[in-house]
Amino acid sequence: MNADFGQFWVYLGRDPLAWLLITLAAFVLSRALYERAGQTAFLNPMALTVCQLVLLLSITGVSYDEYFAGAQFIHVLLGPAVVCLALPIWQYRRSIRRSLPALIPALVAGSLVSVLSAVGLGWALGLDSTILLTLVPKSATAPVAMGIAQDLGGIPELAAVLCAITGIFGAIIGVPLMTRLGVRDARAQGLAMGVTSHGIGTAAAFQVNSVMGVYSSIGMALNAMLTAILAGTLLVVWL
Amino acid sequence: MLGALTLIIGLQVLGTLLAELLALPVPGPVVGMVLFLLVLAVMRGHWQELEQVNNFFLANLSLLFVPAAVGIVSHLDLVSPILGRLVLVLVVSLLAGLVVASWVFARLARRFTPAREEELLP
Repeated sequence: MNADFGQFWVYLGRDPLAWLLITLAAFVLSRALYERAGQTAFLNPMALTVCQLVLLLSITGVSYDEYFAGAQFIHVLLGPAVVCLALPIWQYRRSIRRSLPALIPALVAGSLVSVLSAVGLGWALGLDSTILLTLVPKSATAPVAMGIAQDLGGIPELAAVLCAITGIFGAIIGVPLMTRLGVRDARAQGLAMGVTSHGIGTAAAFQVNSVMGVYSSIGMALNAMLTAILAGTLLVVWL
Repeated sequence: MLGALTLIIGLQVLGTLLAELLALPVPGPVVGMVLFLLVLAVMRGHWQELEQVNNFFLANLSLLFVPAAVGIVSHLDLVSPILGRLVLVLVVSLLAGLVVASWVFARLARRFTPAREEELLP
């Protein structure tokens, strides 16, 4: 990298707003690309944005802390956005109540399969036990997953990374996969998105339609609680 | 707009406080979401302002996850030696979860709670 270019980044890095601007610009660009390409799932705007930023940070050597000083202004909105999910859930409360006989078993089955298949395959591939414990909460929403990983003796930061990777893949392949398999019920697709791919999957589900988004929100919220309970049980059984 | 935003952030703070005090296994915002449901149940009826705030968040939800996901960058050295296996595990388990959850739902729904017109995908 030449010196002028380096200087440029040193200058930019001093203003936290620069990273806020770059994050917004990267997202706007990614979304334009996604729209342009006919909204193909493989150009998921969030995944594209993350790739660009990770690349940019690796090239420039800017630390995550420095980046986050600017990006936190977006991050703080995450909490209120989760609280807000109550509104669509409330609006669809009749549909949800009617769907409970399918929703609850699907939640439990999906959650169990996610946890057991991850830990089982990880074990078969020879990943060490710290990593296996960190895999347990990978389908829960990141703040819950970090807490669970901590309790189990895994690595909380890695748990957040695994959540992000899972969510991004879920957002990309979830809907096309289930549609290909012939699932036409938006409620079923939504719940599966929320249970496996938490908030990132929920964001993708809302892009399809609000029924799918609502069921994904429910799946995410209930799976966070269920994963915490499963992990607690695991802890008691093991000790 | 501001009134609704104040209510929402207030519920998040309250939720975080409750999660902390009662040592709940879920994060504050999720507790805040449950509290918001209770508030909506008490209020009944619509509130135009809430709708606006909510639409703004929903339309841009995926952007909000970007800063947290970029955190991968500070763990590249931990992740990269086992990246291949990790991704394989995550993808296989994701596919299994998606297939099982949607299949169980669709199967049971057909028997107990058939999808209505607006709940079917084209």
